[in-house]
Amino acid sequence: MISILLRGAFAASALLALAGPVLAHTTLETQQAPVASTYKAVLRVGHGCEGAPTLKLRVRIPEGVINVKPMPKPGWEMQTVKAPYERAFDYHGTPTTEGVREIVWTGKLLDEHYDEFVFRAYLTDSLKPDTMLYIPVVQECGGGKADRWIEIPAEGKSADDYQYPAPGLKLLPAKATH
Amino acid sequence: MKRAILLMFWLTLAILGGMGHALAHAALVESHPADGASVEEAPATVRLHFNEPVSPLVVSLTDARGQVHRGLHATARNEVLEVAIPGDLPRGSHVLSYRVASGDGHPVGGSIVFSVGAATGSGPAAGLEGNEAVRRGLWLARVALYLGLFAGAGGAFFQAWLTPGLKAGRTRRVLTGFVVLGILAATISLGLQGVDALGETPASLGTVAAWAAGWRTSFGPTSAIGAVALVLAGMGLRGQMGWRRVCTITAMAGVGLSLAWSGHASAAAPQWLTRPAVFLHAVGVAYWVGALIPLLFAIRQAPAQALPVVRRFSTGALMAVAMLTLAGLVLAAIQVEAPANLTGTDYGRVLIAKTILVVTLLGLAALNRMRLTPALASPGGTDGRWLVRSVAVEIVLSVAILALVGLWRFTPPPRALAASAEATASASVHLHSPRIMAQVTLSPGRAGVTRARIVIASGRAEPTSPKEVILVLARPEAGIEAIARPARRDGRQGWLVEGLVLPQAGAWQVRVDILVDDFEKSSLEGSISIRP
Repeated sequence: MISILLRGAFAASALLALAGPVLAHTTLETQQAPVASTYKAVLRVGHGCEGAPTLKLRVRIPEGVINVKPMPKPGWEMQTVKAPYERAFDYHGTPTTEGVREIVWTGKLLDEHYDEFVFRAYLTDSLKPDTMLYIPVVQECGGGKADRWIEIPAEGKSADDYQYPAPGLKLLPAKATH
Repeated sequence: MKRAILLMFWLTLAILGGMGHALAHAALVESHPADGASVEEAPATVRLHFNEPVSPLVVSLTDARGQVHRGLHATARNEVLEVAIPGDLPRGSHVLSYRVASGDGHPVGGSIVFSVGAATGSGPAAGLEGNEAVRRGLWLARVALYLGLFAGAGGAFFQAWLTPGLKAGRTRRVLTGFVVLGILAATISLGLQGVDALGETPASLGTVAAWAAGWRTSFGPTSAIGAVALVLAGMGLRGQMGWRRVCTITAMAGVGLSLAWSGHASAAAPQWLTRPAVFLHAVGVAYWVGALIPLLFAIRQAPAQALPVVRRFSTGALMAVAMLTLAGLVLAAIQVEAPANLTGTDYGRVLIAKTILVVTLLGLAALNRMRLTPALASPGGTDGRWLVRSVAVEIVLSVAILALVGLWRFTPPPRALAASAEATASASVHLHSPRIMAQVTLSPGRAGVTRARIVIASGRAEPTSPKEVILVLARPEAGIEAIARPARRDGRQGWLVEGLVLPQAGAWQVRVDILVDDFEKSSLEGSISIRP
């Protein structure tokens, strides 16, 4: 009984540890994924900029993330910016040299409301397992304000040390190929 | 077992639910008084308005004197934090630092700077600029004051101590004229000094403020003592010989004291050396220059009777000249500091010109003593005609020297220039990462109001043009949380923050947040040393 209570307490604190920063910032819902797999990114936006409503969300796709497919969102206009990659990536045998580098959603989200923004992408095996992958997001709001979730922690620091950390996910080793 | 798991589940939900309202780090939205604002009177409270409810952890205030008031009483109501401010705030700039817990439990710190009256001054300016008319007036008044003190008071001393039994009617009138000129000059100088100190135009000479300001400068006592010395000298021109001698010797001491009281030379360190040196220099000059006019009249009137007077003067003059030369050399050495400054600064150039004239004057004096005075004694001599001419030239040279010396009012000596350069010198720090670097320069690099210039380049020293640059300064060990100021673009690579107030000297943490492009931000950190 005691051990169950203890285990429960651990589970709760683990959840809390996850939930704390998750609730505070613009973050990803799934915070780990294996390389060489397709990842569904759900960006959670909890508030506007210092009270101002969010009018635009811009997402920068990092190098090594290809085949990006944003999910259209009712009430929001969606645009993508395509550009060449720094190098060619292999996508199931097909060399890929350019693709979406930026997604822009334009609409309106009040400060007191919450919303999610979704895209799917392939995490190439050029990404190193057991490192963090950061997806910088800029939240542009009314009155010219902007919250830039673009701070990438320096070595030895964590996202908690920053006021506007970029949403990140931990890369896991590729699953065994079938 | 099942119940226990369920309990844990509800517990977890409850904790998460409790955190539900905590969606973000708190951020300061605005404050009263506003960050960077100047207010007329010290506020009783400062209101900090955040974007969400906060609870205060620590609030402290560093006042303009550098004193830290810790643990200020703060009450939070919704998003507003009200901080009670100590009642006895001095004028100047104050930093209010806060640490609050935002809803998510993260402590958030920051500072706002506000000034009561005016921002804490960055020390006295060099003060070399000023109204041209005021400067000219100051110079004229200064030269007139010198003439009054040296020719008038010095002349009265000469009359009382060295020429007993000579008729002095005309000489006395001329000397009285110099004394009156000196008193007028001492008075008008005071007003002009005040006008100059306030940076006003001559028109404000009519205002009480100008005279009060003049009195408060170090020139106030100089003017007062000088005027008293001149009045004494004027009284010493008439009456019983004993009375005249007492008056005039006191007047001579007053001349020395008056000039030793203010001016660049007296202000120099070491004071125990410079002030007595100025005193002796002034008394020596008064003895010498004061004698010239009475001598001229005496020799012209009756060369034969003047001979003992000239001899007596000549003996004393030898000592006076030795004394004033020595004192002058000591002062020059202190003021000029390095030989290169003689030609490199205005002060040095005035000194060179003065030295040339003084050497000429000394040559004439030697000629008088060796040749022309004995010639006066020889029967069938030149009737002192040459001696008269020589003394007349000495008078002209003396006036020229005094006119030159009056210029020193406007040329700070190299010693002072060096100190003033030190005071305005900047503090600088180079920050870099492999990708980007920044040079932060604070000028002046001392506590008070300063401006920061930030030059940003890529890691390979190539120019970059970031979108935003924010300068953040903090001194956590002194209870001063981050003071953040956005920089504005200044030139191609430069960024500027003006009106930055750093209330304390010491090591400050400096951070530059650079928004390289929309999605990339770099922070460079380091420390910068601020002089008191």
